Amino acid sequence: MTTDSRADRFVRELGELKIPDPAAGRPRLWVRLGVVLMAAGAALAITAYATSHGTRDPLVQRDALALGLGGITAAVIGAALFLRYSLTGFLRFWMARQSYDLALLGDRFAEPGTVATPAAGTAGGAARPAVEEVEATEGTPDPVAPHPTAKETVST
Amino acid sequence: MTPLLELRDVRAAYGKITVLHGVNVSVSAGQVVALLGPNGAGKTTSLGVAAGTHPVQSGQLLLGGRDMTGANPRDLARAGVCLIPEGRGVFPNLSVRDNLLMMTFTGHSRAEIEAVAFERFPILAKRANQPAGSMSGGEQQMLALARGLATDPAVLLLDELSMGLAPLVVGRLYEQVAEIARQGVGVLVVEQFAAAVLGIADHAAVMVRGRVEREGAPDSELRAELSALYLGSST
Repeated sequence: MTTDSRADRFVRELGELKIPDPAAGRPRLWVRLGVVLMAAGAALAITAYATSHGTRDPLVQRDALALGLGGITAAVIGAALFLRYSLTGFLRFWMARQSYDLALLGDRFAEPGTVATPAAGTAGGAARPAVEEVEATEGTPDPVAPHPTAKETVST
Repeated sequence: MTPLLELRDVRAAYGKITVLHGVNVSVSAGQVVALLGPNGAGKTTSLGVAAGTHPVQSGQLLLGGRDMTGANPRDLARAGVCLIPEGRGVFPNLSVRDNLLMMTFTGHSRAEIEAVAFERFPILAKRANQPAGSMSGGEQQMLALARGLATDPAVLLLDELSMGLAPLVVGRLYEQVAEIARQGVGVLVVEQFAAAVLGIADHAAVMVRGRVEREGAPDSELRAELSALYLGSST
């Protein structure tokens, strides 16, 4: 792989990318729309019921019936929208939380002074310390002190 | 040559608090650029902007010369921008092999991914069936790098690679980063501990309170200014 080829491919692939509008607030809009539809649909259904109940005119009753069914449909669609987008938000949060907890667990493994744990898959089933001595004992590096990763080392 | 990645006069905020005040950084193919500075300087936020995970208030994110401001981070990742976040981001309860398997969403086969990872980091082959969380910090960071490489990145964004690692281990990791850059990948490294990365960097930018205060080749003058910044004195 040459420098040009990867860079050229990168530029070409970027050129083919369609950049969507940043729509960070769209899910929130859908949730609000869902709530509005649920409330409006329920209100419409109740109003239609009251209307049909308060008249003996079959035409008005049929209209009210149609309106009531429309209201129920709107409420169901609203509930689906609300569940879809609020659950997405919740599950995202839950996933982030899971990831954070797992990271904490990982950090606990890497804490200095951690007792050696048997390692799966090592040759002969031998136990292997979970933390390398060198990492457990080294202090915080000096921010500007010379470092073993010198450019000369890399270039040779 | 057009830079692979360029932040042009970028401003970004967390809520009402603006943390980047017109940041300019560019990374060309095969170049290692170090973004240095003390805590709270805006380094990680700059990486977030570059990866598309942090929104831009004003300014531009240019990739390969094309304005990609506001693009979906998933699209940027698929195009070849790879962010390795602070804290490694490996799944501690999964084995090394399963961590690598997670990267098959990129379209590469498991065998291809393992070949790349195990060739560059042979120690991972020995630890293939071991839970990632039980490996040393350096090995976990290698795994994170290997997972990043599995995406065949054109631009690699590294956040605090040296975090919690011994200088010797950090040195080995940065040797690998230099090797990756030599293969044509543009690398932007954020580091609090400057010495670790200045050894391999072609260019360095020093950030203070959301601005790039100084940039140039990582020479002794820059190191001296950096020392002054960290220690709070003037040169």
